[in-house]
Amino acid sequence: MPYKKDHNYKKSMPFFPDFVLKDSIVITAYLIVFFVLVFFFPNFLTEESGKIPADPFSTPEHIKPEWYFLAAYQELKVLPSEMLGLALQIIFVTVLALIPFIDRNDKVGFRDRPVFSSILILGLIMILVLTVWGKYS
Amino acid sequence: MLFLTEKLLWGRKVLKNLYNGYLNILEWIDERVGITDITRSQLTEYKVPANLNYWHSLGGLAIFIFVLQVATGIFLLMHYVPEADKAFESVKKLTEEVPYGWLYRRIHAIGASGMVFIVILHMISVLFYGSYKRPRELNWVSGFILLNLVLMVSLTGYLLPWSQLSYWATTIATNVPGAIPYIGDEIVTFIRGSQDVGQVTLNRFFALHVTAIPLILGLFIAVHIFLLRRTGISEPKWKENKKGDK
Repeated sequence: MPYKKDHNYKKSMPFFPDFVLKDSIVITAYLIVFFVLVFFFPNFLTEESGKIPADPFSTPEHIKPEWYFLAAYQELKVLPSEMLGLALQIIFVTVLALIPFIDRNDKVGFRDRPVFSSILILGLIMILVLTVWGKYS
Repeated sequence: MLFLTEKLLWGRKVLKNLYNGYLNILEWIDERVGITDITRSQLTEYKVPANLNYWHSLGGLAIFIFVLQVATGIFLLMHYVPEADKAFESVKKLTEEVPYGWLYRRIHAIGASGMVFIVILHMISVLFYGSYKRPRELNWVSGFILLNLVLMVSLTGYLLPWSQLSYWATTIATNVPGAIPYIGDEIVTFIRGSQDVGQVTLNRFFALHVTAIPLILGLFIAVHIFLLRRTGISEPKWKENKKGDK
């Protein structure tokens, strides 16, 4: 197999059992939250219109995309023209896809690269604000 | 007493024979498959950095959710009818009449959101740790493709219940490319297969949702893991004597 056997870590641990144990703790924690949602709050993501059959001739008053598209949806609504909004989104996605080729700095520590870190934090806050705004507008 | 001892001795003999049989079967398989070598090189002798924390488990969690989605999806597929005037009824029947149908549906629907959430968290943690840097650029690119596939599989799946919510959310989402000058409307029609969201849209979204996208998703998960094994997990650079660096 074309795998490297040794990756020269300062300190290493075996994948099994050490890391698999860590993985299973995370999976268990996720499943606990997940099944609480499944059994006790099954409708927290849907709306009443999810219980009505589709009718192409009656547009509902409040219709919103899923939560992960809300930021993009709100951005399109807020900007003066949809074309501008879409262009910005295409640029954003392209930059995101090519980040390793744009950010070629060798430093990986969060505090060792203040420019990248602050852009990252600002970007995350912006997306969060747009999502919450889209949810309650 | 003697009777009991004899029974115990006999039991021990049976167990010993069973164990030897088990070893023989294992040896037979190992000679042909090399299972011992694989488990050794891929599990116990596969070394990862000692200072990984729980954020590094998010990728594994995402794969776990993907498997859960495929498993529940197969059960849903047994009852779903991909026709505009029957889809909503079939989903209703599945939820109300099929044993545990409501459970499969809820796990699949909420799990889809969970998968998007975990994949986004995984991406944010990679950005914070700078793990995408040389020589792991392709790990990032394959992960970015995976994110897009996850979003596509969510978008196509959202239409399938054929409710007001799914119909109009899909209408809004597929309307977005219409903002592109000159060819925008053509693209919208190309995605939908007709002027508006309708039977043709349902057909293609259904086909993509249950075959093409999950298949490509699985392939890219394999590519992602191959690259991860090839380059190794990047070693976090914690400050000395901080939490996580034991």
